[in-house]
Amino acid sequence: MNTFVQIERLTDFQYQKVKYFSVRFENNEVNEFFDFLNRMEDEEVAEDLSNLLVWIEEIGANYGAIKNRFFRNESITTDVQALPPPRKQMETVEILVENIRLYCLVVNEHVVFLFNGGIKTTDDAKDCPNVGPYIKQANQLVRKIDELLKTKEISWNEYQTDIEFNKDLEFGL
Amino acid sequence: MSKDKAAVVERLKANILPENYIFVRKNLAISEQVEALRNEKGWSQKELAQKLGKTESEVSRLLSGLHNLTLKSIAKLEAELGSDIITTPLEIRKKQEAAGTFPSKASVSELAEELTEEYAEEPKTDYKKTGKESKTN
Repeated sequence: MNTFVQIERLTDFQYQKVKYFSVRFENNEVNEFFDFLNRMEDEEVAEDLSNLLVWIEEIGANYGAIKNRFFRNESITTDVQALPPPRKQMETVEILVENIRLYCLVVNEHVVFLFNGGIKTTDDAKDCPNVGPYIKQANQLVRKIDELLKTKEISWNEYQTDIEFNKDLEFGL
Repeated sequence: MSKDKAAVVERLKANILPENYIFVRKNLAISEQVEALRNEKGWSQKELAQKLGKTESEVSRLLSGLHNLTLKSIAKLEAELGSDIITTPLEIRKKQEAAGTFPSKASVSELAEELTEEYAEEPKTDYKKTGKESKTN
């Protein structure tokens, strides 16, 4: 059975160079990025979490989301990618802060979706009980958002620096 | 009492210290400098990684802006790129003096202050609140 998901603009994370978004699953109290922050808040990673928030702001305000420089896409393939992705399909990328992994979608230099993640405990992230499920979830979300961009249910502004969508837009996952 | 999950950003931002801001800003500045030097040399990311004896993935992690770079790593980067990546205000003063361009009235601390003004700026968000305040949310 499908779970319905809505896109949320992260109003505390809107900067000149990058606008950040997340997704919220039906019946969940908060979006996935906030869920990640709430879970990490209970771990002994206060400094890493502070650095991550500052980094998100700095990238947003001063640098832009430069994919091959600030975000990585190694080791994020899962069984949902068993079939080779079509050319130019968007990919899940990750932000690393020591052992913390936060999975995201860099749509372009100006639009980034922050999903969920956790503390990686195994060499191969796919095998990690903490982050493995979030890699799979991120890959599914990336494919759906990619489709919504293609069908223009998520549309670009004139200069492709921001996206627009109906606030009631939801999709099944 | 259960915590207010929607207020997590407010709570976490209240715990951010000025040093977190300095760490990330300087880290990103180093990354940008390395990238500029790499481009100037016409090296690909793979070539830089090979010269450093690392994988591309390791270098991308090193220059992500979140890695705790060691002085040894920076020295290796400077050696391979053949250029300074970080320079202290005193080094700049010495170079300016040697070139005869140093403004004679400026002290080293004034020069450092001027050069580090960017890092001393008040952050856009209020990072100086104490953790205690945030925990009352």
